[in-house]
Amino acid sequence: MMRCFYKLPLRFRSLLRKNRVEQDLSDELRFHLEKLIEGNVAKGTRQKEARYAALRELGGLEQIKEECRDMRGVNYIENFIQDLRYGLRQLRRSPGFTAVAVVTLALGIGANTTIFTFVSTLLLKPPAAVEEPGKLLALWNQLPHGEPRYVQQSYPDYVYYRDHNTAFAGLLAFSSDPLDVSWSTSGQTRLIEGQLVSGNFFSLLGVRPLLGRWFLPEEDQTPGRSPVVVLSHSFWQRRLGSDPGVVGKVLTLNGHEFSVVGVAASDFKGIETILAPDFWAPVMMQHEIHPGDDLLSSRKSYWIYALGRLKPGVTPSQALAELNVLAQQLAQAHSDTNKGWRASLTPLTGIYDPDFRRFVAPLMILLMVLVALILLIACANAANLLLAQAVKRSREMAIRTAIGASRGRLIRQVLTEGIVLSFGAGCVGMLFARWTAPLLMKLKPPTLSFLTIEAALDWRIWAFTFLVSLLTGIIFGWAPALRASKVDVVSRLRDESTTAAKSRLRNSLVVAELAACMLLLIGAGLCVRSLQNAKSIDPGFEVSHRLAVSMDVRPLGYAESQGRALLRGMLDRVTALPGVRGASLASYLPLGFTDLGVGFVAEGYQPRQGQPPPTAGLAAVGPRYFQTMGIPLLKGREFDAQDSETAHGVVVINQEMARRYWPGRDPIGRRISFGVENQPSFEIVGIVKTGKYSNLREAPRPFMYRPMPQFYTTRATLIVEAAGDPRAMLAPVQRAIHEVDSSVPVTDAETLEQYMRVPLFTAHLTGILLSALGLLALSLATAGLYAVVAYATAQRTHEFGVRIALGADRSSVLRLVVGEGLKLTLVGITIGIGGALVLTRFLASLLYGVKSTDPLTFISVSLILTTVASLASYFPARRATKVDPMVALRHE
Amino acid sequence: MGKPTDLVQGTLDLLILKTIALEPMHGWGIAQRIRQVSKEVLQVNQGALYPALHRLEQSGWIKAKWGESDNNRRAKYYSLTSAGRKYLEQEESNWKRLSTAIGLVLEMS
Repeated sequence: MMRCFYKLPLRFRSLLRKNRVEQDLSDELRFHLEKLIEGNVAKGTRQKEARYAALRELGGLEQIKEECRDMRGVNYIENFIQDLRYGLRQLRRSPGFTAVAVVTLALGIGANTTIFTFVSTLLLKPPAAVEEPGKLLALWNQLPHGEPRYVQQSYPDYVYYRDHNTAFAGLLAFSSDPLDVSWSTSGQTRLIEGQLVSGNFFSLLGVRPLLGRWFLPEEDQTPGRSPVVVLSHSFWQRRLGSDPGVVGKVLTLNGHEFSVVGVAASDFKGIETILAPDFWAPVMMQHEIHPGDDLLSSRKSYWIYALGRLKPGVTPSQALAELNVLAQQLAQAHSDTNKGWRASLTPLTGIYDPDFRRFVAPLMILLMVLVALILLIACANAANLLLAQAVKRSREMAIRTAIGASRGRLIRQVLTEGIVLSFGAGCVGMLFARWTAPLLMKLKPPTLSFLTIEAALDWRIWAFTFLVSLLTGIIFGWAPALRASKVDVVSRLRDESTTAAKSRLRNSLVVAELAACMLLLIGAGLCVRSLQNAKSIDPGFEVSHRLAVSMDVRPLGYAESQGRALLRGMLDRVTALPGVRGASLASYLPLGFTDLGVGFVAEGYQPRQGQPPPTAGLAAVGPRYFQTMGIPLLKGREFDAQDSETAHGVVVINQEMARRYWPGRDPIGRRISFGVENQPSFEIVGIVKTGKYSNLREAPRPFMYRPMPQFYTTRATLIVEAAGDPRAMLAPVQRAIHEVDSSVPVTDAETLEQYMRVPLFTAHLTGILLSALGLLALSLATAGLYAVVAYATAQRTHEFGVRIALGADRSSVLRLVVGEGLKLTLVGITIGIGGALVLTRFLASLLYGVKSTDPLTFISVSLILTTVASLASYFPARRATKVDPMVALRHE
Repeated sequence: MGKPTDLVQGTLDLLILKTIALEPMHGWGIAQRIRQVSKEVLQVNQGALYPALHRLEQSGWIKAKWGESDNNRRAKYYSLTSAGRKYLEQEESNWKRLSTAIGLVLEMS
């Protein structure tokens, strides 16, 4: 305590009254000196000699002063300000160097900030505006075995947990998938996204409404009783023109009237920030918002995300223990659905679903590693530039050493300059990221438009960029700083230049750069090859000349018979359109977001003991589906008009399913059932070629089709084979659909070529991203190599002059310089290949049909890099050969 | 550049503190006193003295005041603070313990 009391005023005094303190220091030392002189004089020395002797005894007044200043600590602050001023002046003096260094580093830092923006939004940031998000925990069902590891709650289970737990201050619920809802406004029907939430949703999150109020507890009690909605800020702004009097107005949603009770503030976009809904309605309005099954009483529909707020003082593990007791009670009471299920809790981040998070996280880490490599290349470049500067300034350093600057002081000064540079670069990089982050979002295909990633600047991004800039400054400033401080004072002051330039440091930096560049280029090459491969993977159906229009009649609330009639009518109308070769329906398209699977019992197939029953993918398709989609029928027949609602059940299976369960036998005519006792079985009537169903990389898997009339779904996709350009048919087909029913909301209308961008999305994304990063790395490394060769050549002008004067051939000088550049390149490439062999295996899971050690990629990338590197050293080399021996010899 | 090592620096601190414990003294005086008291055995490196004084002042063990010296010259007088006094006691006992221990070891062998 006492020490602080003394220290603070002293430090401030030193800072604020600098002159006074300096004066005191001089006075103090002068007094000592005078005393020494007096002593010497008393011993009989002459005045002048006595003074010299005293100075010798005391040893360097300025050095003592500097040490005293250091001891006062204030020096750190003061020196820093001094260094800062000095550094800025230095940088202003060589604007070319400054600009190149700042741009180089800004590219590296900007790339890092861009990627980190996504990491932050997806993995780190809890939803905005939520109070104490760290206390919120998502409650999941954990199945006894297998994937997915985290399963949502059914509504009755949620109610049980909500009413019986004591660990949470409250447990809220919201519907997990975006719900398509039709909104009728002034004669038009739009499809908007809604979310059903429990009555305590907003209050438990601790968010405040901008207008109106949240839901009342009684609005979450009785099904269908309270048609009220809260609007999202963006919906209110975009669609309702920020109407200040919106509260109390009525919206027609799915044909029901809902009154608006509130509008959320702009910062709250829901819990799943990447899937922001347009409005929220009480979960009790499920039937009106999402007509169809009664989800509120079903124990087999897992559609509820449950999120609890821990009571103060309760730890997550205590809460989990209690919830597991409740899970056991549920398992006992409902052994048919909940047997063996346990509870699990996960923290809350931008991506709500932990399974999805586990999929996204490695991708993000990979990207972070790649951009870190770019930054290292940029650092090496900047370090080389700074080294060249340092050589120019070694005389200045020598003078500073001679007049008493300590080595640490010199290091600090060069480091400060580096950090000034990197902070300038950080600012530019931030601007750069503001531009690239939205650009990256544009890579997303239009079908994924519901995904919104807010690349907003928040403190995490600022802090990250700050830290990266600081680290960058230290990393790239360190080697030049050490080098600059190791000056040989005497030879420097005599202006002897080091002809045997110590270029090992610079060379190794370039080698490191080239190695990192090689690594990135190989990654880029692999991804480009993989994209080419992915495009040529046969999805199992024809892509050209086809278009697909998806719709969902659920929001219209039609009865099943009405819905069937509607779909039939549309199909007839579209088939009759001119230019349409054929049309059919499917409950969903392969390779999309829907992937339905069922377990079944196959006639004549006995699963081995302990093995789970066989499962297969399942889709409902209309008549002539296989013909329309261009899926080859191998045996049997297509579905046709005879497979009506009332006819006996039939299925078409794929070849893989036939091979697996009836090997060597004919499955046609055999029957399968879905394992439920009193349900009828289905006869296999056809076999089609195996295709790809959930992703392009999957191994062949069993799949079966049922005729649409026998398996009704409200979601349907109309597939049309066009005679000409399918794009021209998009408008007429949609018009025909709306002629049948103008209120049918169309979710997507695109050609299958456009549709294929979704399954190719990851290949596309990695292809583009890595190519961009690879090009960036290539240009940075080339610039680096060029700079080093050019610099080394300029340093050796004298030597070349001598060589030429002694009769050396100009081409031999050319060979000498290019040869040295190539030597560095080859070492870099070798190290890069070594690194790539180790690291590209992390890419393997993203690659289509190309091994992570693909020799073609490795060889062609090496050739490209060698060519570019030769060019980078050729130009300075040519300049070297043009040296006029006379000029060169006079050079020094 | 004759920069004292940690051990030397530590002992120098102790010597300075002990010297000014009796009365406020300026840098020159401290150097002289240490030499006299140690019977010319300990020679204070004068280059190291002032940085040490400033460090001790910065740490709050000693405080400085300008005063008059002989023939009316201004000099900076250092004296112990109460924190410095406590620190000195502590360091003194540490030193005694250490030197006794070293003495014991030396006698043994």
